[in-house]
Amino acid sequence: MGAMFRSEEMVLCQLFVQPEAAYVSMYELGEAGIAQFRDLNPHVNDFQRRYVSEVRRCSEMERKLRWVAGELPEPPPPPKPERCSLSPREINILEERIDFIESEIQEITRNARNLKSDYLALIELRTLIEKMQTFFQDHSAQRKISASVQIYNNDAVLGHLGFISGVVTTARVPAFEKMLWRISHGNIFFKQAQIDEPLKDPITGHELQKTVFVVFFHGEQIKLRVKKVCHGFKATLYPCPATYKDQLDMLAGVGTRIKDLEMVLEQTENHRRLVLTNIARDISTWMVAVRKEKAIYHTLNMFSMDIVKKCLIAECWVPRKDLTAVQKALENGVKASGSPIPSILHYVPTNEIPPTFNRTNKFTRGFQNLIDSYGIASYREVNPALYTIITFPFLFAVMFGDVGHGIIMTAFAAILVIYEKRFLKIKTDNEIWNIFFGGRYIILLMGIFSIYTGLIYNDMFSKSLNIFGTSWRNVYEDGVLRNHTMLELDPKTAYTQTPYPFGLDPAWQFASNNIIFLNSFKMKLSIIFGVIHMAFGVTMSVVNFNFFRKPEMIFLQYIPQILFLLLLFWYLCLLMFMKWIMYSAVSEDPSLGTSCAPSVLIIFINMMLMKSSEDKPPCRAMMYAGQNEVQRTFLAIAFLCIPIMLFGKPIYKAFLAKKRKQYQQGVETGEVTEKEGHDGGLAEELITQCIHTIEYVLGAVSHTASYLRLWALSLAHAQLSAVLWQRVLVMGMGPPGVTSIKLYIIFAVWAFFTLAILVLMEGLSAFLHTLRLHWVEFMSKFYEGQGYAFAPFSFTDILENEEDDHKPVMETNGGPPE
Amino acid sequence: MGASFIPITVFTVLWGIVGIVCPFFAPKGPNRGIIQVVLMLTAATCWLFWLCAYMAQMNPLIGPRLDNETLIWMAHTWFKQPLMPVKGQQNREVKLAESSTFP
Repeated sequence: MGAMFRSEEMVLCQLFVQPEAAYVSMYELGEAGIAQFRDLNPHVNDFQRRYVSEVRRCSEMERKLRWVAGELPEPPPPPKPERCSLSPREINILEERIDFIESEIQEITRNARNLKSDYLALIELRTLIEKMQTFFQDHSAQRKISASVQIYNNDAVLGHLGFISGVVTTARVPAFEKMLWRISHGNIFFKQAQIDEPLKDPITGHELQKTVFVVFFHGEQIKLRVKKVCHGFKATLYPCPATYKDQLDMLAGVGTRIKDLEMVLEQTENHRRLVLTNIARDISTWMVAVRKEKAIYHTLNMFSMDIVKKCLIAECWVPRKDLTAVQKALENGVKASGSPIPSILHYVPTNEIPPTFNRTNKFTRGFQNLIDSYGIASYREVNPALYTIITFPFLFAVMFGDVGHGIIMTAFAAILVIYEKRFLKIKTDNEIWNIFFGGRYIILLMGIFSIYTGLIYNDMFSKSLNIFGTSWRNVYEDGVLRNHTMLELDPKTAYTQTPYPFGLDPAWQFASNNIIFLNSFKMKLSIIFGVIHMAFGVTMSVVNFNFFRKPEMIFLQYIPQILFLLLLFWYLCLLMFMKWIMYSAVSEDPSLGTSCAPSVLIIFINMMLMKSSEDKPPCRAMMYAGQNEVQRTFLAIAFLCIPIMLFGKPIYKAFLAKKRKQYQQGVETGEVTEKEGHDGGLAEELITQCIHTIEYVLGAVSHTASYLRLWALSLAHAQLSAVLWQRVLVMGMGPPGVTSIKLYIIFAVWAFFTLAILVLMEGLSAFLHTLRLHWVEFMSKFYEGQGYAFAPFSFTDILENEEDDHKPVMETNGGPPE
Repeated sequence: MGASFIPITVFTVLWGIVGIVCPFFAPKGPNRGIIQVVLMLTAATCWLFWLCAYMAQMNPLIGPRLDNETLIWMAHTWFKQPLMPVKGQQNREVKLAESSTFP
């Protein structure tokens, strides 16, 4: 049977590997991603494991690489596809190289930073001197001060009027000024000017708003205080000559120094860029190598040593089909290490439940995910995903049936599928996009099926297509047509007696009573497909019973269950088919005419209530002779099935247990009694079975009714789309001319609502209802879902997860944290 | 009985080919089983869906209730019956407006 029929057979293997060969073998296994290793030292602390130092080394390298990558001006190119593993010597070389690169870049960065702060200081000094010149020159009122300052400074007579100049952050200026005022009791003169062009902080790269200030004061005492305040406010003080000439000299000096520094800075920057571009080529490849290395050591940490510490022992789950690949990886490891002792692989028989592994491809993955999100299948249980590939899009389309909307959906999914390689390259965190892209094949099938069901419903944006020619004729004379606005076509005369060959007749789309017809059709349709879907689910359980060697369960559970379902609900479906075939408007027998057509639902309810109804000539109460007896028999058998479902399994188990006891007593061997899985005894067994039975019997009723959502949603969809057409698009229709502009706008509105509400929202709601129909109505009939997923050691997964978030590799596997 | 031989045969054979014949020619490989199941289920569901729609219309018990304008349009466009002798567009609309008082 196909690959997805049930999960693959898993084998628990024990590997005995020489430590020298282990690395290469693990590398190959990681590339293949076929083995799930088990932690053999769960009680050992992460820091006491064998390969902790190696893991740490890798983490350190990873950290450095990440830091270097952060320094790169643009994201590095993707890693080269390199398949060869690195030998320990190569790893050492790589480590040294990474160390060297890191320290070099750090050195360059530090130098550049120092140079930049020097540069900043010089720029500030230049602005300061420029501003100072204006302070000293401009205002006539300050001439005196400046004069006296110059005199006293020049004469080196201290203790008179001195000044301090510097630069302080603009935000602090008011507080700074106030503080200076306070400490000097108002005996200072403060002057400030904001620097117009913002400066860049060399460390953080933020913009700095700074203000140049100069403080004039009197006396040495105040000078000290002022200096302290300046220090407190983190103002940078610059010595500024007092005379104009000196200032000019200094300005010139500063100018040349700035020029020199600019040159040096440029050279540093060039050098840094050169170094970084050299690295950028390889950095991703190194990163991948280091991460793989780290993942390998994490896995090796889960291995245990044998007593003489000569070889590593590993345990892993491997799909039976991939055993040869594992064997080959081990051989390659031995070959690469050149050790004379081969690695050994052998199977361990175990009672443990293996992980569930369904091999999927890009097409089936989406469907498998739908099932897995309900619960991972138990080991080797029938996998509903296989049938979901068709039943899911089909049931969706029953609700979503519309040719137009289906075409839109198909086109969208087709674009995703056709350009999937291009889209795959764009990795994005946009969750909605990822959901749509992940389910592209589901959406594609849903779209295609919607087109088909839309054709059957004969519904395209609420309009129908008259492809094959309608079966309804106009039978009315002109006079009648003129005098009546509404006319009902009589099926006796107006119907051609051959139905429209494919789908519903287009005449119904115009009819004012089309809902009556559609409701009757769609309700029956829902029940028919629902009962078939459920019966299919129940039948799936037979496959499980056969596979798990419980043939008795077929008789104790499957047959009563399916009988119950078919005798009651499939019988209901049969009545529907009979009604479609037997009753006709043109029938010669009046009891099979229009007026005598019975309601199938009423018949069914009467059957359940065991009521018999009277004939009302010319009509007959029953559809066929002996119907009452047949129905009573069906009902009786169906209800007889309930006690079998209820007591069958517990009694059988009790019977088995008794037999075994007798056997043991008879044989009287010293053998250890077989481990009994169920020690709860008969009572507990009965209670469980009771719950199951009630669930099934009530479920059969409620689940059948639940399938009516197919009808309800499809009705809602059709009506919404009709309303949108009649209330919105029709507004734009009329004689040509001005209306064309109106139509232009109204079409946009109509198209928007068609996409947003009818395709997107209705699509989402139909999707969720379909999901429910599968999870609850279908899978409850056979699915256990108690398994756990196979999580192999695979580089692809690790690297992908790594890109999502920078969490330490393989944290789930119990590796030491970074 | 409103069944007609041709459409039933055509569609049953069509879906029969998809669901019964095509699975034999599914490409060999690990996915052969999946393709076969997909084909068979597609054919079964689509055929049954079509069948239900067909059978529901085989013996209609009610007929569509239509607007007289729609009926005239149907007769004219779909069956190429000669248009009613009306004098003109204007006239017809008036007539219809008058007649709308009738039940």
